Parts: sequence; C-alpha cells; structure tokens
Amino acid sequence: MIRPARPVAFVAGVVVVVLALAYLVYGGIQQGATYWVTVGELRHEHPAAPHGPVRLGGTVVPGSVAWDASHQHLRFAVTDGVDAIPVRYSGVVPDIFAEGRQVVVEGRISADGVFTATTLLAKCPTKYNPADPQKRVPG
Amino acid sequence: MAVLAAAAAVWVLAPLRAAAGPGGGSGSRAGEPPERLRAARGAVDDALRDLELDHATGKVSEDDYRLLRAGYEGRAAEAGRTSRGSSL
Amino acid sequence: MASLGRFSLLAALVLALYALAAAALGGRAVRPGLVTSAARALVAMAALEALAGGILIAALVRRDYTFAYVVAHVRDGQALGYDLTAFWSGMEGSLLLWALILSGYTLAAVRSIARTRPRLLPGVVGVCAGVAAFFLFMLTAVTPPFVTAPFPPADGQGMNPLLLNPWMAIHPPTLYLGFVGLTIPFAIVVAGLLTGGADEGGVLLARRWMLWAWYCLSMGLMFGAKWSYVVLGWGGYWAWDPVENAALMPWLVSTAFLHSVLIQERRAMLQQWTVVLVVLAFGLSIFGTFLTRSGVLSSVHSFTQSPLGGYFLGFLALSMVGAFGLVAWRWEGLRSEHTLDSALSRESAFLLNNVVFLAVAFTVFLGTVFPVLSEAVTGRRMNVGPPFFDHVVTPLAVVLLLLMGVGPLLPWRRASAASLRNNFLAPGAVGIILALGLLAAGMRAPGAVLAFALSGFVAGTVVLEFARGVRVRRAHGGEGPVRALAALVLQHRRRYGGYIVHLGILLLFCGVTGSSVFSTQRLVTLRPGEAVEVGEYRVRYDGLRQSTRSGTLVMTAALRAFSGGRDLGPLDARRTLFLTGQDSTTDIGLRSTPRDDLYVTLVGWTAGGDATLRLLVNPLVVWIWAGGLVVTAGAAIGMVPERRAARVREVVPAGAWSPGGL
Repeated sequence: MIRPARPVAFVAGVVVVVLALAYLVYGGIQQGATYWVTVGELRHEHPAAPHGPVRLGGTVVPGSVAWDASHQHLRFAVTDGVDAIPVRYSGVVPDIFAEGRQVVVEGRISADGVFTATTLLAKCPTKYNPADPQKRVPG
Repeated sequence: MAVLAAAAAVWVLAPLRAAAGPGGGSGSRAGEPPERLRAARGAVDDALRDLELDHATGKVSEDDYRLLRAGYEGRAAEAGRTSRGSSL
Repeated sequence: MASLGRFSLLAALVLALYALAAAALGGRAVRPGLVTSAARALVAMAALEALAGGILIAALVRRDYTFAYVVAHVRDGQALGYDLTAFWSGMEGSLLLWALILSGYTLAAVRSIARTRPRLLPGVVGVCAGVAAFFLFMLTAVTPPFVTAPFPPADGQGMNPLLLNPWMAIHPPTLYLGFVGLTIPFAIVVAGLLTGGADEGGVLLARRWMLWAWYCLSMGLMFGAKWSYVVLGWGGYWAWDPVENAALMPWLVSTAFLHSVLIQERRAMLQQWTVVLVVLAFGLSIFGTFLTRSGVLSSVHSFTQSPLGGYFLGFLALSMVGAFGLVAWRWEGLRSEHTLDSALSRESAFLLNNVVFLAVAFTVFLGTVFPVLSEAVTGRRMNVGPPFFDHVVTPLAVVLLLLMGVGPLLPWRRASAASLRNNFLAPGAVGIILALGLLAAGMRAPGAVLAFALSGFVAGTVVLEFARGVRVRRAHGGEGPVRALAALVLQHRRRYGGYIVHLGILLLFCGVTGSSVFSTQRLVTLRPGEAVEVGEYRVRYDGLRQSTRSGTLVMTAALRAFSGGRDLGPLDARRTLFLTGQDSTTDIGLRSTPRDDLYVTLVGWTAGGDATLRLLVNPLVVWIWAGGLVVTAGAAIGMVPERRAARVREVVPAGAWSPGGL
C-alpha cells in the first residue's frame, strides 16, 4: 500500500498510533461502559451492594408518572411485565416519554430501592409492525 | 397499460438483436474514446497547474519540482497517445 | 391503485434482476448489446419506481386511508407539506425513496460513463442493478408500502409530532442523497477492479460522485444536529446516538477518501488504500441503513424492531465479501510505484490524516456496536455512552485540527527546516498569541485553550495560503487584490474550495468547544414575577398562558430576558400537548447571538401557575451553524467542474505559471 523510504521508522510509527488508540479506547470504556440489567435482576439483587451505573430497559407503568415539583424530579415506575421498579430522574425528559412507552434509564439503584436515573431515553412507539404483533405498543 | 408494457419490453430487449461480439454497440476496443483521454489529460493538467502554484508559493524545492514536473509531463504525453489495449 | 403500485415494484424487481444478469453476461462475453439492454432495463425500472412513488404520494395527499401506510403517517388536520414528507417518515416509504434516489443516480451515472468510460459500463450497470434489486426485494417481499385494509378508518394516526418540523422534513432526503450517493463510486470502483485495475481516470470519476455524496451527508448531519438542538429541547445537538453515528461513519470515511485521492492524483500513491476506502464507505452506508431499520440497538430513532435487519446484514455481508474479494484479487495491480520519502511531508501528513479519520470511524463503530459485541464476547450486554465517545474522539479531533493546518503547507516529498520556518512561523505565532490572550483573559480549561489556539493557528495557515496565492497572481497579472483573489479561487477551485471548507470546520470546532466546555445550566421553579440568573443573563418569568389549537393544548411560559440591566425582549417557552394520544412537543425559547445562545425549556408547571424551567447558556452555538454554511459553500465551489479544452493541447511550459484560463 505504502512503500516507506525507511520501513522500520514507519512501522514504529504505526505501532505508536495503534497503541495510542488502544489506550484511548480502553480508557473510554472504563469511563463510559454500563451493564444492561433487567427489572427482575435489579429487584432480586437489590439487597446486595449496589454495583456501578447500569442500564435498565422497560415500559413505563401507566399511572405511575408524577412530577415532584419540590424536588424537581420526575417519578415513575418501570416494568418488564412481571416486576416493577420505581425511578426518580431530574434531567431532561424527552418529548416522546409517556406512560406505556418503552424507555431506557441509566443510573444506579439507591439504598432505598429507588432507581436514580442520570439518563432517560424513550423509544418512538412502533406504528406499523405486521411482523410482530406482540411488540406493538398500544397508544 | 398493456400496450405500454409491451412497448417497453420491446425497447429493452431490442439491443439483444444487435451484432454480437466486439465492435458493435457502445465502446470500441480499438481505442479509448476522446472523452476518456480528455479526462486523463485534464487530470494531469490540474496536477501541473497545482504544482506550478506550489512552486510559485515556495512549497516545493527546486529538485522536487523538476522531478515532479517530469513525471507529470510523462503522464501527459502518455495520455496524448491513442492507447491501444493499455489499462492506463 | 394499490395493486398497480405493487405490480410496478414487482416488475421493477424483475427488470433489476434482468439488468444484473444481462450486464454480467454482456461484460464477460463482451457483448455490448446485452449491456445496452441492461441499461435500458434500468431506465424502465426507474420509470416503474417513479410510478409507484407517484401512487404513494397521491395516496398521502388524498389521505386515502385504505392504505395502511397513509393511516400510520397522516391525519386529518396535518399540514399538507407534512403529508408529503410522510413519504419518507416511515420505513416502507423511506426504502422506496432510497430506491428512487438510487435510480436517479444510476441513470445519471450510466449516461456519463457510457460516454466517457464505456469499458466500465457493464460493471456499473451490474452493481447498480444488484443494489436496486435488493431494495426492490425488500419493497415487494418484506416491507411493502402498498398494504391495504378493507375497512379504512375514519382518520389516520398522523406522524409523530416531533417530526412536524422543517428541519426534520429535509433531513432524511438530504441524508439519503448522501447515503445512496456512495453507491455510485462503489459501482465505478468495482467496475474498474473487474476490468483490471482502478486507473487514474476511474478514480477521478469516482471522486466527483464521492464529493457530491459527502456534500449531501454533511448537510444532512447539520440538519439533524439543528433539529436535535431546536426541537428535542435537551440543549445539545449531538448525542452519539446509534443513528447519528450511522451517518457519521460514512462521512468520516468519505472525508478520508477526499484527502487520500489527492495524494493518488498528485503522486500516484495510496491507490490500494483509496479503493478500500470507497468500498468501506459504501459498506458503512448499508450498515447505517441496517442500524436505523433493525432493532438490534436501542436507539430512540429506530423505526421498529423487525426481521428487516437480517436481510440487510445478509446483503451487507454479500456485497462486502464480494467487493473485498475483488480488491484482494487485484491487489498487486493496484500497487503504486512511488515511495513515501519522509515522515515530514505533505504525503505523510495526508496519510496520518487518513489514519486518524479511520481511527475515529473505528471508534464510533466500536462504541455503536458495543452492546452486541460485549454480549457476544462476555455474555453480558453492555453499553457505552457519550463519555466513551467524547473521551476517545476529542484528542483525535485535536490531532485532525493540527493536521488541517499543517498538511496544506508542508512541501511535497520532504520538508526542510527552511520551509518549516517559512510556512509555520507566522501562523504558529498567531496560535501562541491567541493562547496567551485567552489565558490572560481568564480561560482555564486547558482543552479549550488548546482547541482555540490551534484554531487560530489553522486560520493563520489558511489566510497565509490565500495571501500567498494572491501575491503570486498579482505578480504575474498585476490585478487588484480583490480581482486576484476571485480569479485565484476560480482557477484553483478544488484547493481553495477545500480551504474554505477547512475554515468552516474551524468555525464548527470553535462552536463545539465553546458550547461543550463553557455551557451553564439552571433548573428552577419560579412563581410569576420571579427571575433567575443564568450566565450573564437574568430571566424573569411573567406567567403561564394556556391556549388550544386544533387538537392540542399549548402551555406557554412568558419570559423576559435581561443582560446587565438591558431589556432584551420577550421570550416564550412552550409545551404542546396532543390531545389524541400522549405525545407532546417542546418549543424552546431561544435567543441566539454570535456570542452565545440563551436556551429555555418549560419542564413542568403547577395549577397555581408556577413554572419549572431549564435554562441554558450555550456559547458559540451559532458558530456551528455558520461553520456548516461555510463548509457547504466551500464544497460547492470545489464541485464546479474544471473546464476542459476542446482538444489536447501543448504541455504547460516549465516555469510559466499562467494566470489566464487553462
């Protein structure tokens, strides 16, 4: 591909670049990686020491959404259909967040059993999905 | 609608009845069409012009300038010839 | 009507398959008649696709609710313009749009290539037919747009209100023009490989298309960022969302290509690498389409979870294996004869530039597929969010910034100490002075100081390039400086268009740095009449207004902004609640100045009229949009084709830099 006039120096340069990139990527993963968990896992493991930040996916329980003006955070519950877990969140709430919709929260479970979320992502509800009727979210 | 479809089918399939083998239809192998040569020549002219500007603004040393110029002029001469069966 | 639409797509698929077979056969057996027939089949296919598109548009505009697609995306009371954009707001329509755009590009490419490079025609026709066949297969068998229901509902569901915005209206088609546009250079390169080596002329042709696709991708990314900032209301413009990344990756690889192709043209080096980049860019555009369609990653954008993903992945695998196989087969034939002379030369700067762009693309890819990768490797699904991307990409971007200044000024082949001094002393001084100035003014964030100082350095190099060019021109032609500048730019459109693009990128860099590092945020609940300080602004909340408008309830917080006692005027932060369903949208209160944006969202309210507001002061955001404009302007200049002489002329005599029209 490239014929360097000094191959050794060139290869050394390549190695340096690759190592630098690997170092950056490793550091980035350390900083930013979170495990996915399910509602069930969180509920049953909760008595143990809370581990690092995790990602939780589920559906917002209808009737559970309440804006706590005094603490300026949103309270709601997330369910996987079997278990539910309460969540509090004080960041930006996406417009598509609503009851019965799928959300992903990232954060930690606190000692009081409430999941304190630092990130909230909501999913656009599927509108046309003939292939998989069970995944259709009503509303 | 059916008439349209039939006409379209005829139009699409008509070239199949054209002479088979080299020499018929588009693109003769005997020589590259002039547009192709113009494009190749144009590319070299761009490179030459760019080199002249680089040289005039002091970004190419004299030796390198002569070397690069010679290279481009060689390519220009090649593109000027009608290439017979060459892949460049 | 729907059955006509279905039939059109099916017939188009048949034609595409025929064209693929005929082009393949015609290319191998050297029977031009077959190839011409294949090209004609593609024309007929395009006409049929246009017919299908017309039927869908008519159904959308007429609000024909017998079409399931129309029901899903249109509603009585939706503005007509958005009924039209509903064409691409759903999966089926967006795939049809893709096919239509591909047909448009295919016809243009076939015309151009039949005239200039007829040997490449079978390959180009074949590849375009193959890609078209895949999308038509999806449209006929997997996601047909013309599904009808026997009992049409009285009203449709309408589009997600977040999409009812001008930026979101133009964002998908612009992005598709870019994504799909990468298919043509891919086809050209594959055709070149099939006929025996991608020579200089073929890559030049591919370059034009790549530049156009890059241009569209750039604009699409900017529109998406603008939409995110203005509509989503979170105060940011880029979230490292998988769908954003899906568009960023081919953009990065295309940018790398645009730089490496210059090395190939000027020094006949890096040919193998350039070919690989074209194949990679196409692969990433298909991969990007796969990301946005399948539910394999949880993105707030993804249309739906469906088996679509499997087909895309299969097509991607097939095309990549085939293309890279071809590259491997022709590997030795692509080898260039020149060597890389010195570590400090323009060639090596461009090479490093490419490496870094690919490193960023690789990082973005890694971060995007991390959930799937981690699950495959460790058994546990893991995610990496913006901190990962920021951590890795920021230093790489700083390196790119440095290269942007250094690359154009380095000499070819080998830089001497004298040339380094001549070229970098003045811009370097600008950078250092700027750094010292910022530090003296109190800026302490080291990353920001570095970014701004480097930007000053790069700006200095660009200005130097323009100044030198003007000086040389005036020495020859004696024109006034303005005329000399205009003539210089017109004479060397690629180079100076590229410099203008770099200036735009600089603005973007500064805007991103300013708004990322120096943004301030407040979250407050106010009673009417109360005010809050944020940044150098004071914002007073004057009360809540309520109104209803065609099926929506609009809550408006009336605000007034002040800066240092000066009344800056009223500001409204709105939330619109849609009474059908649970959707809502945010209208931010935005006051933009070149210095910063005052950005207010209405988060919540109480019955008593208290409002909870999120206020942000984002410095230099306007620079981002301005930078985007400058980038598009520079690209447009660079895209104007060079005039070609009517006949092959004399070689330009040595030393005679002629300012006249060459």
